[in-house]
Amino acid sequence: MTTTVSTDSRSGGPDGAVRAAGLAVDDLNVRYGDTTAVEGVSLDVAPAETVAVIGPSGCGKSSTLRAVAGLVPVAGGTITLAGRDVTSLDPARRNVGLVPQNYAVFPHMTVAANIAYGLRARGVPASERRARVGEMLDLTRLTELAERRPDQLSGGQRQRVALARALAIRPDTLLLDEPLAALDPQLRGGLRRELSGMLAATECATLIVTHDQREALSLGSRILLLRDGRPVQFDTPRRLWDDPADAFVADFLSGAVLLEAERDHDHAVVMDGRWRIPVRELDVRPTEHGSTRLLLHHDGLGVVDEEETPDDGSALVAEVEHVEFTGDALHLTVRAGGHALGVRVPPGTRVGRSVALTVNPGRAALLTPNP
Amino acid sequence: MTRFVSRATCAFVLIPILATLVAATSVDFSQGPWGGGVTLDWFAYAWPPLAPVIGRSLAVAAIVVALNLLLGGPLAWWVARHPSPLTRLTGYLVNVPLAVPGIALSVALVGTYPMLRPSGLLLVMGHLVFTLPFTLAALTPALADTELRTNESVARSLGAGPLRVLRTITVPACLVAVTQAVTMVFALSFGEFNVSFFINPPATSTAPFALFDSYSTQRLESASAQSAIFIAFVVPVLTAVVLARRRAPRRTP
Repeated sequence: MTTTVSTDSRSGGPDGAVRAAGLAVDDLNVRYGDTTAVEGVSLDVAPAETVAVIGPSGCGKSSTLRAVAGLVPVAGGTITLAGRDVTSLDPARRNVGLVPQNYAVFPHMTVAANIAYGLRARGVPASERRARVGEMLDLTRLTELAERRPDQLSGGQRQRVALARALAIRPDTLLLDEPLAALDPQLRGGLRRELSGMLAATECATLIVTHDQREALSLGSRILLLRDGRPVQFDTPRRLWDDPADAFVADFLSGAVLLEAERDHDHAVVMDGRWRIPVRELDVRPTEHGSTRLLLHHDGLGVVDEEETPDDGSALVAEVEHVEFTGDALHLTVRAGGHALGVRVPPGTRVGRSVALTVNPGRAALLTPNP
Repeated sequence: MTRFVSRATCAFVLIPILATLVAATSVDFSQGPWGGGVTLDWFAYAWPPLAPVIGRSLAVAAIVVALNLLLGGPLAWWVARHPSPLTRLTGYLVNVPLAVPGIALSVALVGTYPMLRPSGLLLVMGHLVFTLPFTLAALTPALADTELRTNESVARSLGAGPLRVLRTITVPACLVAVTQAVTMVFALSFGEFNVSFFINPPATSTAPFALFDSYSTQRLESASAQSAIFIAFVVPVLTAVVLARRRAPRRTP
């Protein structure tokens, strides 16, 4: 596997001058006893930028965030915040705004007292403190709830309290750990958009840790994907989607399949020649990651009737393993040539034990290395 | 069913207390409840000799509570925040005195530290050894709570130093546990008989020993009046537990 961590300007990342003003993590290592939780993680977040760290459970994303907050010891690497090396600095002196997964709204304090907590701790004068709390209440639309206790708030309101409390101290970086995971799935869409709006109104570098692909894609201007504590790819959502570094990235981010392919004149040859796809049907794009590969998102394939199946090798016969009705579509899981493929077809599609698949023109991509 | 069991339990506890009050307010209980009429004279008779003893027991209980917080608090913190074979062993060892009969514990203490007996320090130590497990049992789970630890982390990230975090986050979150520990230790020390009986010098008895003496040598009405006075000093402590539970902040879901 090729590890791809792109932080240069080509990937939309900030240059060195901007890095100094935001958050920079270089070659971070975190260990718990003999267990390595994070190894060689590097990332940077510019002021007013949001970077999402994503990966499966236990991949080290929360440990990365806790290391930035100073809540776990760093075994190696450096963490720079607004130009200061904070690697071994006490959490209280880092100037980070932390919003943990359960929001950690202090249960014995009102909403206003929660928001004022960090300001009190820093000795901000009362008048200035009241003004800042008022600003934060306005920003997070909590003014009416200022004197309520946390147990009188909904999950979304508690999230806003935690966000307001973290932002009140004007942090150099805002750290959000699974910001929507504690909410009902029905509420997440709306609150994700709401959160996105509030983050856009801040000037600090925001680091979001999530296991939710949609959350990462919609909130992050760049995404770092981790696996087993190591970085796999760090890039913009569009580039991760369009040019994944490997099959794991494609699968984790969108459930897509990445197949090794060869170009044979006007055809892309896949699965040891079992499948020959006319190149004119494919979206041919350059890749920065290794060899020629075929990228299939769920909408990249369609089912054709048996009598209409072309006999030129452009159709792939696959065994149907699972059919799932998702309301507006049928989601098929099929297997061919040792690969499991996801296919989304209209709900009325006839599906037997096996299906013939062809690429939907322009919906599947052939990634070809730069010469 | 649950309501019946709780009411039956309350009745089981309250009936003997009411019986004690009836005996304490009867002119002559040998003739039956309120035999010879109702009187408060037994209280007036019982209070003067009991007052210094109650005062002594309150002082001992207060010292034992303070020592429990001073020693038990940090010990509970260490056990809760640094799980290891050593802390687990410490947790077991602290509980050992609960399984040792009071007489054995007292004899061991008197035999080992006879020089501490006259000053009353050995009595305080005996009560401390006996009550420390209850402090740990109340405080350790509260301090190990994951939500509390997350709250502390957030408070630190917001710029709060360790003392501010302790004062503004940890203590309020543990208020119920601290109140439980304080009241439990106070009640246990105030009412402790076994260790006090063997360790304490006879001239400076504690309240339970005085009650034992009264029931052994005086009229039942007088001893009952002393019991009622003794109970009256415990009631505020138990009320504090109930109030602390009601005032405790509810955890966010």
